[in-house]
Amino acid sequence: MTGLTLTFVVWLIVGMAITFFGMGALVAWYGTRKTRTAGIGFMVFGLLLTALWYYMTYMDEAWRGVDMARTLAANVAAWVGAVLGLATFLIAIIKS
Amino acid sequence: MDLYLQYGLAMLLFGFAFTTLCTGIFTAYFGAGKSRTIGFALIAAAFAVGIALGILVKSDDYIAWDNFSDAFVAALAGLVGFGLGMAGVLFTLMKVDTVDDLEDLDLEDLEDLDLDEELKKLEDELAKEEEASDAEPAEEAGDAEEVSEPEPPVEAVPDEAPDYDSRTVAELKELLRERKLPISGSKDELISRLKEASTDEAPDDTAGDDEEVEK
Repeated sequence: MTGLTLTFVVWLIVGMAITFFGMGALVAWYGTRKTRTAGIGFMVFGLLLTALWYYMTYMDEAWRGVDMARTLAANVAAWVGAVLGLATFLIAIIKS
Repeated sequence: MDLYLQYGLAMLLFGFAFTTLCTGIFTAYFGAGKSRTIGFALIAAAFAVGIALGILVKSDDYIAWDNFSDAFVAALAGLVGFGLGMAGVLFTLMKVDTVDDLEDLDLEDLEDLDLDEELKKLEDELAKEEEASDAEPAEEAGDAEEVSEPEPPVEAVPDEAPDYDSRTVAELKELLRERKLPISGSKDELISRLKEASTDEAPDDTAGDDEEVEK
């Protein structure tokens, strides 16, 4: 498996883990009796994905090529860039 | 350039250029007049930033191609993971909320429902409420009449008159309507009006009360 594939798989898992855990926390907190159970289930699934990511990145020798710190910087920067682009669009529309 | 800076700057510029390009195309396509101009300006800005990023990557001194591709794949994977996670959460929530509710719904209850019977029940309840509301002012009016003007004795009515006392207010009103007489007043008044009408056939008695007839 090439380095880029490793990076893709690892960040796919990390993205899903963050989303499941975050959305699960929201649903568990604000949800009804029925959806609260589903929210807790999402959180558990997010934790399982996090454990998988941790095992792959730090326990398994084959996955150590992925530099989490740098790729995390790339992810954060991409989101910040997207928000800045959206803000530019909104400001341009509102000011006009 | 520092590796973290390379990853961060590359994706910052790329994210900005991509979002600006998308919003610019959207605005230029759907907008009109000034909005369309802004759309084209956003597209131009996106291209400018994209070209700047391309120069930085191509020179290889500022952002190495390997680092850019690694950062791009990581950001893309993070976005795809986010989308998959959201899809999973929303799909599960929709299943939990809607399918379970539909399973709880028992259609046999609706099939057994007799609409005519339900309508009859509602009509009975309505008639009872109407009777109860008519009985209250009747008591008050009866008290007032006892003080000011006593009612004529029942013995004055001929024996052959129908038995109105056993009928309900709604029935009495229906009888009055049939005879085109006023339907206002207490039950006693309705009865006396009916008795008067049955003994006296003169139409002049009700001429002055035409305004009170319920339409």
